[in-house]
Amino acid sequence: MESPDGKVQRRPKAYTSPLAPNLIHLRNPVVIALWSTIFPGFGQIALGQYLKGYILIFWEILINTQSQLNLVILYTFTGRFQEATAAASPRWLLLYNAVFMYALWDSYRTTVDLNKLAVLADRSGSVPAPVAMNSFTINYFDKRNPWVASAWSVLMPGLGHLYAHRLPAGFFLLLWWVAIAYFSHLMEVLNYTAWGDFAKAVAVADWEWLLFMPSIHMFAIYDSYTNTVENNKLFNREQAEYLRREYSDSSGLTALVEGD
Amino acid sequence: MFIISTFEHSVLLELAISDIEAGGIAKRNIFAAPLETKQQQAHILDTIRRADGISQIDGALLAGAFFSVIFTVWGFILPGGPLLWGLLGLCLGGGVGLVIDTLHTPKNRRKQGPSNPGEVVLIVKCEDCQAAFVEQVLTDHCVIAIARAK
Repeated sequence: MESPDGKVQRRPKAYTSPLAPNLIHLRNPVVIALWSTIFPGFGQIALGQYLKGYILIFWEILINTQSQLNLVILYTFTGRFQEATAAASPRWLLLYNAVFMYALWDSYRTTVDLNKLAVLADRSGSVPAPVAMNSFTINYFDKRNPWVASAWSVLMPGLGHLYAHRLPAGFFLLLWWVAIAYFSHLMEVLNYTAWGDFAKAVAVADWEWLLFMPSIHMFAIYDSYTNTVENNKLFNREQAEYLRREYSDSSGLTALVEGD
Repeated sequence: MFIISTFEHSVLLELAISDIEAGGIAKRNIFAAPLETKQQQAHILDTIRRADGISQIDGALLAGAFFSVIFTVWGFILPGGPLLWGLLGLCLGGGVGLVIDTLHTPKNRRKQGPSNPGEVVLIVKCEDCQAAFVEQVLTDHCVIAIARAK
């Protein structure tokens, strides 16, 4: 990667493409690994490793819905162990374990490695270009409000990411949220709950799909907030470098002092 | 005459500098010093272990996600249904996570506050007759504070 002055950066802090900024910053490996536990692939998405995250999330949704793992969890936690055993599909269930552990382990170790690179990048003074555009979109560094990002994510996962211009995460979350809301009958559950008809709310829900939703919702809020904060820091960093480069020559000022 | 001012980092700051230059003040008479927050650097080992200035929300959201899943499950067999219990679990988990995180965060870190309001010091050298113009430009671009010095 090249910096604005054309020098190759060995330890880049960030990369800007028209689709999204991607950056390396310090993260808590335990927090990232826990996101992978909640939903395999989220740890990778949080790190900016979108392709790996996409693969793991597709895998999770396929294997979970086919093995009915969410139903098994539901029955187990409500003490109905026979129903839990009956719900599990032996044809699919064992496909879950290894990839689940991999997602957890991989996101932890990657965070530890990226934290080392983050320290090196911070010390190297590396800055990306503050604007990237093509025929379809414009990505520009700016100061944005992390709470606004969170609020949009509360209303609809994906929107907070669009606000922070994280298009690869935004579209992915938005599409999955709409798909899972449809399959789980979430909106009908919302309607019946608001009308106080709790029995119908329970009856209309598809539990296998509904249990995906809290994790996706929380992750969208968390990740869009974090991205906005880090984008703001990147803006500060880039502008500070620019001012140091262009406006740190104080000889004009001292000339007057000495002249007096 | 010097006009000394402080700014937050923003695109407005670059516009202000550009306007001052367009108003006839030479670039060599403009000096901008981005201030580094030294205290944050001292905490660099701490920040590797937590997600960098946002630790207050980590615990709340993680615990919120865990609790809301479990409470949604219980909502299946409790009166009120899964949505209400799920939301209750979310609030409860969020509260628990926030308390744990707050207790876990060292006090001096909490007191430190999110950021330094004056992030950039801008010094402009100009003739006395230009001072009002420079100050007007700075004021129009969200300057935090201004001082004049002879």
